[in-house]
Amino acid sequence: MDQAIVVLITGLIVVFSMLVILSGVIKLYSTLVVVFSKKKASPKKQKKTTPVKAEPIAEEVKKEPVQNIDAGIPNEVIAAISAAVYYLEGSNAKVCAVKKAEALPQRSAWGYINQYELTRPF
Amino acid sequence: MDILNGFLEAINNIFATSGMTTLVWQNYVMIAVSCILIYLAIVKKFEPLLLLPIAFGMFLVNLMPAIMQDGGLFYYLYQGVKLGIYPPLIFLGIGAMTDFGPLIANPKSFLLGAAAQLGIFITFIGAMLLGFDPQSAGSIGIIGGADGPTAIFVTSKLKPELLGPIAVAAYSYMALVPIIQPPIMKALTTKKERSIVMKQLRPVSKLEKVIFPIIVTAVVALILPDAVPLVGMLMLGNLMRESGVCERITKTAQNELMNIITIFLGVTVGATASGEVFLKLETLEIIALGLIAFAFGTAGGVLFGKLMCKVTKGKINPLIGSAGVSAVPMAARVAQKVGQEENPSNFLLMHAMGPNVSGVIGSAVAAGVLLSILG
Repeated sequence: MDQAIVVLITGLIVVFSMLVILSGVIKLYSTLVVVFSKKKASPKKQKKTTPVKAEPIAEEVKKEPVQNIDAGIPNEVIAAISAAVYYLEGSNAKVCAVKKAEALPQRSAWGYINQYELTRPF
Repeated sequence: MDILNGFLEAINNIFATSGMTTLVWQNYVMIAVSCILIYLAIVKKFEPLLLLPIAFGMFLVNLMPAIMQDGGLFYYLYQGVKLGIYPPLIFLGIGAMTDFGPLIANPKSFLLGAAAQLGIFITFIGAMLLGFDPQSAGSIGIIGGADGPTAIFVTSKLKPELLGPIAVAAYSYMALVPIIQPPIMKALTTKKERSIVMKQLRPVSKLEKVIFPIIVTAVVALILPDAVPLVGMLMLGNLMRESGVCERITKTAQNELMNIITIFLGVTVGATASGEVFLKLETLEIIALGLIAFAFGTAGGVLFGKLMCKVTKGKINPLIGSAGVSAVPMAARVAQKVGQEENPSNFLLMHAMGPNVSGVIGSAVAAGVLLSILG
């Protein structure tokens, strides 16, 4: 019976102690993570308060619209292509012309990807 | 004539080695018990993923006892149980499926998970009073952790002979959590306490979720090395999940690995329940003690929840303490259901998940304590 009491007391104390320690450690590192996240977020907020170069870039785009556009291509398509180019290349690139591609021979997209994979330089 | 004699001799040999001459009445009783368990698994859906393989393993071993002896199929599959391999692998899968976010958001839940392990140690004393030796009492007590792999892990180390009854008791009671817990929860709490609405949990960042398993493993390993196989694999599974860079192996741990180990574990554990081992008075005692373990575990969690409710001046609903038994996610759902009966707009599920997953860690730690003292 003595052993039973020893196991009861030891077990409860060890389990509680272990989980209290874990609770404290997790609370501590969660607090640190939250504090560091807030510190990282606050310099970004300062940058956001000063609007930078958006208007000049927009003005540049407006001054030099896409000149050479094939007939029949909707403005929304032009806008989407321009946005994609801007996203990939930044403000250094500009769309000079948009032309319709010739109809390609019937081949699956996978075939073209495979061809590209095999022929692009290493 | 020789051919006829040979034929009769062959028939005689087959009959002599058949079950009809080798089986005893205990085997037939266990075959009937296994059929009842198969019924409960299929028709009543009592933890079918485990109970069905357990029941069928029991069915097979009582039809052909040699299947568990040296050279039999289950003898080799059973080595995973005997050597303590399967339960940690199950924990790997559980870790890969578990979101510890509610626990990280509210670390106080750890205390509720600890309190719910009271059932283990109270049952240990009860088993000793009934005349069980310390190793048997420890194996019986761990049923109160409400964690099948943990119960199998501890029993396979301390008292492998009791694996059959303890596994059957553990998984049956886990399936009965929605029936066992609510009366205890209602008896120990007031209507006002059950209606408490808790504040929404804060969002938890990915960094916190990634650091969590590393810290838990380090702390547990340094203090209680015997718990490392279970807790370490649980945290490995969770780290794989939360890192986001191991999608393939996380999916394997959650699905294929879990399913394979569940099958092997279930059939081999069931196959330990042969008639001679199972049909004893101590099996009934184990089943009764298992119920006591669950009841005290629930009571311990709820009572500690009441204490935390008083200390925090009504911010914590004591019902979530009952979820500290590690029957994930059933116990959390029971807390949600009981709370919603009092206040239909009360959503306790995520709050209860904190103690629920904490109970998994708590029961693994309790297993480590029992193994280090009694092993």
